[in-house]
Amino acid sequence: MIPMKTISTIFLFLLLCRSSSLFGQNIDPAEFSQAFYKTPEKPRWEFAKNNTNEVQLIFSGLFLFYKFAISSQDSNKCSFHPSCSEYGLLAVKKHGTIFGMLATLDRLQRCNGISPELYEVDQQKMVLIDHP
Amino acid sequence: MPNFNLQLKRILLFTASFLLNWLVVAQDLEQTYQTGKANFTLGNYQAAALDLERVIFFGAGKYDAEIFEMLGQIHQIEGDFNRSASCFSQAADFAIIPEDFLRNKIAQASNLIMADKPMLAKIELLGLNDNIPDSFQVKQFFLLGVSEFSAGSFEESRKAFNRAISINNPASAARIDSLFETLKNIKHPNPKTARILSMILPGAGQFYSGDIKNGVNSLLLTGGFITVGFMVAINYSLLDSFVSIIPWIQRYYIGGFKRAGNIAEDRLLQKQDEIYQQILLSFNRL
Repeated sequence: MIPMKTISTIFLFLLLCRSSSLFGQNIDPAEFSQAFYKTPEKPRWEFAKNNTNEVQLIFSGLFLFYKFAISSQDSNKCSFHPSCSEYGLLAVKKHGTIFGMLATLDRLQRCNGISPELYEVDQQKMVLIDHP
Repeated sequence: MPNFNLQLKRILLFTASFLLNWLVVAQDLEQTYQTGKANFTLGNYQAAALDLERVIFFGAGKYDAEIFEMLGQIHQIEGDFNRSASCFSQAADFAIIPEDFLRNKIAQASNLIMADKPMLAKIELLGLNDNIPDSFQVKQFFLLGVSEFSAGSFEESRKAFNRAISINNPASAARIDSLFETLKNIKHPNPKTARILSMILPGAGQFYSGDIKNGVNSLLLTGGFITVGFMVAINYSLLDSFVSIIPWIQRYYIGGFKRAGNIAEDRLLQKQDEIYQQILLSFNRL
């Protein structure tokens, strides 16, 4: 039977050996493979996929068509997060067709960058936060 | 009548707490440091960071160099490269042995590159002494090469990579030179040409850059708006067409040629990145 003290001494010794090896930092060139060019992330609109009724399905289809075919060709950037089109779909899903569309019209009126002090700022994307 | 039983209990309780206070000793900084180090070694990084930060806060600088180095490694593992670079910088400041200083400076520069700050990394690397050991010089010039390449200074990058590879493997220097020669010849697609082509014909710049899908999309969208604009002008009036359709044409026409330039830039970067990956493959683990 090996005494407990011997086991703990061996364990501490191994622990110290491992810690000293961690201090010798090596450089793996592969770690810098993304330093020059980062593959841009493709946008995923997960909320456009979970539809519970036909109205949501139609609006999600319109939203995806707008995003792929029209918005992708536009150089302008919405000043809000989520963007106006995303807000529109989320609002319809949350408040229903009529109130959702009214909320979207209200958002489109506000998307002008005149009163940024009224909203919180997303520091990473540098856009104003406004959820439906 | 006094309750002797209760008084006895109180005395016993007081004595016991007094003895416990005397016998039991709270964890001191040395023990906290050892706990943090053990947690770090075992991979319990959050617990280790908590212990080590506590030692820095209450300690008198005894272990600061080692602790900041460990914290730097913890943040690096967690992917917080800015904090990691800052910790390695402090570890270098507290380092006593030149080797520790160099190791931490190299780690700081490496994390600055990972945090998309190649110019700051370059400053740190160029600040190192010229007479440092070869093992550090390889890392210094390799990282300098990476930071220069990331910043788009290809000639400076070539010099740095060449110096790095010449230390251990001089025969491979020619390969680096030939890769940079290939890089020089990569000029297609030119973003400026792509923009001008899309100004002349919407979508043409995208076709030139090899992006057929976006080319067709831009051509159809702008063409569609122009057609609608003409139809409104013929059926209603020029003013109606101008007010209702022209803003849309302007929006997608300008968006189209700006995007053509961006697509060309992206394609060019992808081609240059292929060379960059080959350069990295020329280096073994440093």
